[in-house]
Amino acid sequence: MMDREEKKINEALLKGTDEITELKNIVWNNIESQLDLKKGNRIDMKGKKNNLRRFFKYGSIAAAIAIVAIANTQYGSAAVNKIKEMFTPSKTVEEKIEGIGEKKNVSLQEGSSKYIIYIDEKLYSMKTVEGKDIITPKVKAENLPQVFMEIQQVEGKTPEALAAEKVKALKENYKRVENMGKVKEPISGILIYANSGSKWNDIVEKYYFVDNTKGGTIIIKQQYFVEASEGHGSRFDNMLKEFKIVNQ
Amino acid sequence: MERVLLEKIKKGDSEAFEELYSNYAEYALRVALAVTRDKMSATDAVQETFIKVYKNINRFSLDRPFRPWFYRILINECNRVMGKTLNAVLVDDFTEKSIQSFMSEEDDYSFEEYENLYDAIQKLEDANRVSIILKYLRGFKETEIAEILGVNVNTVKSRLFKGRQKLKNIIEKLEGGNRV
Repeated sequence: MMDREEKKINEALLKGTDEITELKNIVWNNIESQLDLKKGNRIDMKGKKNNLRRFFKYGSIAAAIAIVAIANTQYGSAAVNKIKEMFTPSKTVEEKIEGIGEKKNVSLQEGSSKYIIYIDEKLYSMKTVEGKDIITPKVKAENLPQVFMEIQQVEGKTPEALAAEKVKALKENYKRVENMGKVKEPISGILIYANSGSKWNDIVEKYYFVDNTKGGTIIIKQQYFVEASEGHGSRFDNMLKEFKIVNQ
Repeated sequence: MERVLLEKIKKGDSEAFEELYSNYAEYALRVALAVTRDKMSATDAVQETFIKVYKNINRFSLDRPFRPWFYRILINECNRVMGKTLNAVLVDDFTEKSIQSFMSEEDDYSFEEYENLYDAIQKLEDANRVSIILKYLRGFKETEIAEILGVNVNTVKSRLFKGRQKLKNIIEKLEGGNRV
């Protein structure tokens, strides 16, 4: 039998943890996906998909991604290249690389997955290969690990589910794998970090899993090496500060 | 009833597993959030706990109570996602944080009483805090908490006593109109 103070402790714990109970269905979806449970043998959990979608649209934990012109009737049916016209084709940004401020002219690029991003075309180029947009440095050093940022869209899978799958896969190849959880900078999403060691030329893989607001995910993969963390690593992150999803 | 459910899961019945999830998930999430203090970590911990349960259910003896086994896995997962070992979190170190200094902190916001109390729980030493969460959020007996945490029942009693004393003092202050 609880006394009065004990009841208050119980009440505080219940109220303090109320908000997480709405994640029950999301967690189940991830478990179901990871264990590959048979779809035909499931208890009906009505409203699960709707709740999930609603949560990611309005929920407190949802990635607050920039949505451009989503509800504006003037632009609602505009194609990406039309929306692209709404943005400055090029602009000057200041970024800090290894502690030193640099002014850069960056150009607007249209991604294949309905997003826009600005890149410094003097240093990087962007091409699309098999549905993935790949940004690579124009100057490539020999005998060094590959450096690139790759952006692709996966439909029908949540950032949580994909991040969990990626952590599992990375753990087979990398010494250090960390799920850093939700981040807001340089972009709102789940951040996964992995590296093969701490030597200057050890490979770093970094992923951002961003909710595409339509039940899918935009996966942004960065690969470089430890020594390039403050160079290419910072530049890739700076590009993501200007990343915007274009919903139609 | 639960034994029947567990027997079905042992036979690979995914529907039974989903029913177990429905029965356990809400409080598992609550406990995980209270322990990790972070929603993402809490969901990770709960997810991995259920995956471990599913994969290891055949090692679990139906002669044993399921709930403490389940929560032992959950607490271990909470510790893992927080980047700590079980011993690091549950170390029997009662170096006290100054609750007094916490209580005298300036707070410009007018919170509800339970929010202050929840914050106070979160500021307890980990060893005391986890025991308090298991007892007052999930209603575990002291012997069950001892089993979950892998410590002596007297240690649990001591942790609960210390945690409860501090919280009672805070409740009195709150009721007396003093700000936390």
